[in-house]
Amino acid sequence: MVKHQYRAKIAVVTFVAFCMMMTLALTACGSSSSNADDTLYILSSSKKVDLDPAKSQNLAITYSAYIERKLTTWDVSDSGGETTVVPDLATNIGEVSNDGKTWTYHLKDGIKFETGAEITSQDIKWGIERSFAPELSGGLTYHKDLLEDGDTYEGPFSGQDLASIQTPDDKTIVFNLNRSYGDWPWIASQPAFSPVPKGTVQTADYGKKPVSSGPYKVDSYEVGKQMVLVKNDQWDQATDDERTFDGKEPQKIIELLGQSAETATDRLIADTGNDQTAFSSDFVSPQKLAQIKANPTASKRLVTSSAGALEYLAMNTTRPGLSNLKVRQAIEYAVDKNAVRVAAGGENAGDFATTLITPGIQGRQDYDLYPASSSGDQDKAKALLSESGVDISSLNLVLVTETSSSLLNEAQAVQQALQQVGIKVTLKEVDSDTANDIITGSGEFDLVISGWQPDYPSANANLQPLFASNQIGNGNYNLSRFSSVDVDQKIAAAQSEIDETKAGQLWAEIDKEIMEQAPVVPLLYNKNTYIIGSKVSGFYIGSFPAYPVYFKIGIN
Amino acid sequence: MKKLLFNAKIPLLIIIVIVLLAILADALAALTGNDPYTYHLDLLNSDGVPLTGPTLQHWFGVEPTTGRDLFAIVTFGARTSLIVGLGATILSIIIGVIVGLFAGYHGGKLDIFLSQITNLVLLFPALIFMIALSGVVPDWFPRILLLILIIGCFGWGGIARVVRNESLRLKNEEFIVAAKVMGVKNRHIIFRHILPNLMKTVLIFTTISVPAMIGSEAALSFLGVGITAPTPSWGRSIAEAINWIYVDPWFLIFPAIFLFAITLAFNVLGDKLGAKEL
Repeated sequence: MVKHQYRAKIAVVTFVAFCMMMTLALTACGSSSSNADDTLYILSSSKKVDLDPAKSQNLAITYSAYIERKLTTWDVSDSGGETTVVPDLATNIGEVSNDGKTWTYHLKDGIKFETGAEITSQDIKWGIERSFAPELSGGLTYHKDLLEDGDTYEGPFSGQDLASIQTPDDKTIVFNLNRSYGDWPWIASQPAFSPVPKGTVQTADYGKKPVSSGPYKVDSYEVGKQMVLVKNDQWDQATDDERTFDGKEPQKIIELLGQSAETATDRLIADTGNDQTAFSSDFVSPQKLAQIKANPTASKRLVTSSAGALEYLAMNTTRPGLSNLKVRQAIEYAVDKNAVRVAAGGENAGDFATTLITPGIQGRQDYDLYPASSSGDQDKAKALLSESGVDISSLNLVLVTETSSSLLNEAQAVQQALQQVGIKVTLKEVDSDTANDIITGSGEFDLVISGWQPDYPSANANLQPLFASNQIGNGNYNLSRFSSVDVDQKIAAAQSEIDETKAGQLWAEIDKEIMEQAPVVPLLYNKNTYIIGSKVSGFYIGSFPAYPVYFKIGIN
Repeated sequence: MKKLLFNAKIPLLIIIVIVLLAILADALAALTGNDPYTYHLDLLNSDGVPLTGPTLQHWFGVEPTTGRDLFAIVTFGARTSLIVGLGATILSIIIGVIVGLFAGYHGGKLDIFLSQITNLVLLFPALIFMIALSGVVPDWFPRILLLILIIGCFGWGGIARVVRNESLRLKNEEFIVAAKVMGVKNRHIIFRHILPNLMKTVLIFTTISVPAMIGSEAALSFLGVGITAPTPSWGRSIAEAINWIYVDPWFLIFPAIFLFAITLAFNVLGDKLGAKEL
């Protein structure tokens, strides 16, 4: 469940934060004097990094892949082909039993931790078991619902082990699922499926310096300043077909933390000193994008993804007014998607969306249940509103938005469009943590603009987290509080389908069935734009996900 | 008086013009058929950048990413700034005069108590508290009123201190002592003798307070905790425009010039009044 990161945000602008950022920027500038050509710099707006695999929601191809190998990983084509799941620590992507419930993996030879110890199947099992511990929550939960007895298991620290994961020998690991599940090889690429030395006791600090199985290991870490990764000499390229760096392999990777996205972009535009071998992990903001496009040398160093993650307007179906289907359908027509897209940065920001399953996902069918021009259809919206029988003038919908410029502009674009059909909207500006608490917790809101990058390229990862009724509240992302017994059953049926074509058809039907109930307005299939330094090579974005493949990025 | 008017002519003129713009915001915007809320996406290129600068139709040009009329945003923003600035000033003057008057005239333990509170207000890290407070106040509370209350309630320390010292001085003036000896009631002395003598001080202080209050509103809106969108506010426009400085400088120039002009004008006016009177 990766909440799709938005285009570069202005960091929360309080005086304090502002001063801190200035200090950090100055510190970072101070260290730019020594230029080591083989060091890759990653500029990040986050202040903290937590690499604990049990708590992680990272994609298989981004930062954590430097440190952690999983049973499987992703092969992202640099020429537009489909992203596939491929073996990483395992010899293949899994052998499935006839009933689809048992998956067996064999480990490669020569795979080692940074300590030199051989990675065994018990280490993988320990890593997965840790993710069940209540104190290590926050990670992806797909496997927790699937492994037998996963619903009652409380983690290995109390001395219990999870019987549905068997390790007949050091090289073999067997998973017993409670139902047939066709996407299991993708699940095995998720963070919890990386090895943690068996018996490692739980400390809150594990995520600051995890035991590496990948090509790099953590050398030092300072919150709000930087994390330094150095080569892990125990990692053997011969066992790893995927982590192949383009050009010169970085000897050191320094992630500079707490960098304002705007400042980072400015540094990369200037492209001097260490910034030549740097990239920003935040997206380029619409304002900066317009500026860079006028700069011929910098615009060559932009990398834009194809249309990927879904950005949508969620309507809280439990709230007065929005509980009425006709009102929600009216909003489908009333929203001015073009105004939203311009606010998000225009054509660079993405393509107009009409479906819930995103482009590039198998089984996706293109359709539009609420056909209108990209600026909406106000007459249809007004007609539906008068049919609804709801007293529209009494409504005052609260749209929760983060105080970052592009999100606020998108919220205003929605607001003005709804106001034109007579629906009053009030914006509630809050910081991103508070916004998250409200939309995934208390539910005290009517509307929110959110984004969703599926955790793996499957319609299941598009739909289940956003529309299954067990994903409401408690930090989950069914933001519209959509609850339909029929949809729940169909999701379960589609998940169990091992035949990919059949599953695709089932998912396409669910997609339409949900949209008939109009719990969300699909706005855009987002494109993400990054800027890189002139000496960075191998920085590309495949058809899925809309993020770069970190372990291909080298230096030229 | 003539000399004063001449010296204060330019700042007064600026203030009058901006006040008129704020009062007539609706009418002026209607001249060109604009308002600060309507989108004009046809005036933007595909990246959301305005295609033109100022035109006859849009005197200050349009806002990037929305195409809203910048002239309307600036004039309606002037209204926001002036309402908050004047409202907060009046509130802080009322509190400050009452507290200062009681502390200075009454003296004794009440004076010590009120002076301590005044010091507390003066030393309090008001901006941080304002940020925190405006984050927890419920949505239904009118934002402009909230800002007036917050800024006003933290802005009365200075005036209270000045009024206290003035009334301390006045209290021992012969005419007050004489009035007391004649058995005039305290209430009568305060309202008939001390307050009128404070008026000049208060007037000067008001003039200097207004720009500070307008500045506070702009700062809070700049930080994203002031007036909520889409109600125009100079502070928010400036925060937004900073990101566009290289691409569309018009967006920054107009709100910034107006904020600069009105704060400067009030300050100069205050200085002139002070130089004349004190």
